[in-house]
Amino acid sequence: MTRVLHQFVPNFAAGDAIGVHVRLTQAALRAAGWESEIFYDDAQAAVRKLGRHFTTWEPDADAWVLFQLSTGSRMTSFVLEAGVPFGVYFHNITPPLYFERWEPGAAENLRTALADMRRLAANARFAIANSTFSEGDLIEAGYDPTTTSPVLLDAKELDGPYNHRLLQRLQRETAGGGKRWLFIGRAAPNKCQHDLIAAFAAYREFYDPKARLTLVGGRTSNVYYRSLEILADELGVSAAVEFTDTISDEEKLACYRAADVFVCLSEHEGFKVPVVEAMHFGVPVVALATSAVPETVADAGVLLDTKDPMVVAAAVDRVLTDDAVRADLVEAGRRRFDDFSLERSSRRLLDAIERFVAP
Amino acid sequence: MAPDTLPRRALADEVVAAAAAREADPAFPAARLARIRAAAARLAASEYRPDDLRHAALLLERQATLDLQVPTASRVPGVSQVKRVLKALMIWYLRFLGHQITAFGQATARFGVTVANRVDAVEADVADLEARVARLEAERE
Repeated sequence: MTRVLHQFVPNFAAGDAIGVHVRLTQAALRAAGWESEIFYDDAQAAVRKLGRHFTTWEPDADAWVLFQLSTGSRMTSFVLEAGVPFGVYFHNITPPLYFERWEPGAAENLRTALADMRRLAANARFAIANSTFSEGDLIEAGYDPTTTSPVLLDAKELDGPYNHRLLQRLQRETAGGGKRWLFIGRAAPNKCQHDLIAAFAAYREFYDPKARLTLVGGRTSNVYYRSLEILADELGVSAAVEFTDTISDEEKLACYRAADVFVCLSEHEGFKVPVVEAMHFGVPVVALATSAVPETVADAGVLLDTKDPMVVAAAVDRVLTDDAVRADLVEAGRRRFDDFSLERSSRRLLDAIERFVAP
Repeated sequence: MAPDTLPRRALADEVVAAAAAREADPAFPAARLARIRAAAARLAASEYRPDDLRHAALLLERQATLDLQVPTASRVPGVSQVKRVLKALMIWYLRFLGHQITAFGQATARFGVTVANRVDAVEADVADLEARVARLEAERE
């Protein structure tokens, strides 16, 4: 008998971590003999045909649902009312506190998401978290049983075509000297790009006046995004900081190839895929040791207990000027990336699902 | 597990010490670093209680000022230039509207702060009265 497990994902996007994870999860399930479709509430045009709107779904007798939880959604009520057995894959939910001063509406949505998370807990048959940090949130919300399985990412996609023109332009900018910092993540207060700009300003002031910073990612908060531009201007580094906004996968890959160091001062992450991707490209990582970042980075990066601009600048300087440290981090990064190989992570996810879902 | 040739904890400690040593140099431009730290601190998240009226009023005050410097970046070639031209053509109009909306927002925020002040005063009076009632009841008994 064919086993059936469909994925429900509120927002299905082409290039974001959740979108990639959903696609790869479907591929892993199908390869293991499962019947598996993707249902969404909203989908980007590029991936719309890979799934269907959730209202078109008619529950079949033996079907299970895997709910990809990261935001509030009307799909929560739909799944609960459908009465089908379901489990949750938890990508984490940002605490509303971060959005309170910037986007009160977004903060309210996050409160709804946390309420949805608790509502689902009562009926969920199992829950899988992307990290032990996130698993802690699941347990606190009442989920039982729980386990962890990392977000799925595919090295083949990272080794795919990149934008040559952008890479050439980025390399030209630093041809006369100056290192390039990189951070990838949506402009959101929990990701603390403001601390990154401050640390970068200190680095330029005290270590490398020709350094450049690339901030890749769309905007979760327009108001916060604009404050970042104003901050860069105020600190006199606006000409050296590039806000790319949303870019294509090819452009993102070019940014990784052009980077000298990946710096992450985010205060709240459920996993942080770009840190691992940077490791694949041999880009050393300097990060704030908070939320799930330490368990994602492990020994493959410099983890700091503070995001004080001077300390971050000193850390980047050490990584970029001490050849032994740099080589060691790059090597450790490549090993760490292998820990998250698609084969290994898919096996772990399937093991978890097969353990919880009755045959 | 591969050998950890450079213990990360020690490396992080060395970095912190290096930063402190650099800052301790008498020639170090401490004022510049202080300005950087202060600028970043202004954008940090702050604790908030959903029933905190004063915080809500301050939030309203902060959001009341409209920013007319619309971002013009775009990943589509040429669109950024078009946006810049449109912005230059429309800015006089946006300013006119923006000033009125900002004034309205600031007046609303002012109202919110006034209400918060009055509520604080009433809460203080109520606490005072409750203490007096408790004292009088104790005296009567």
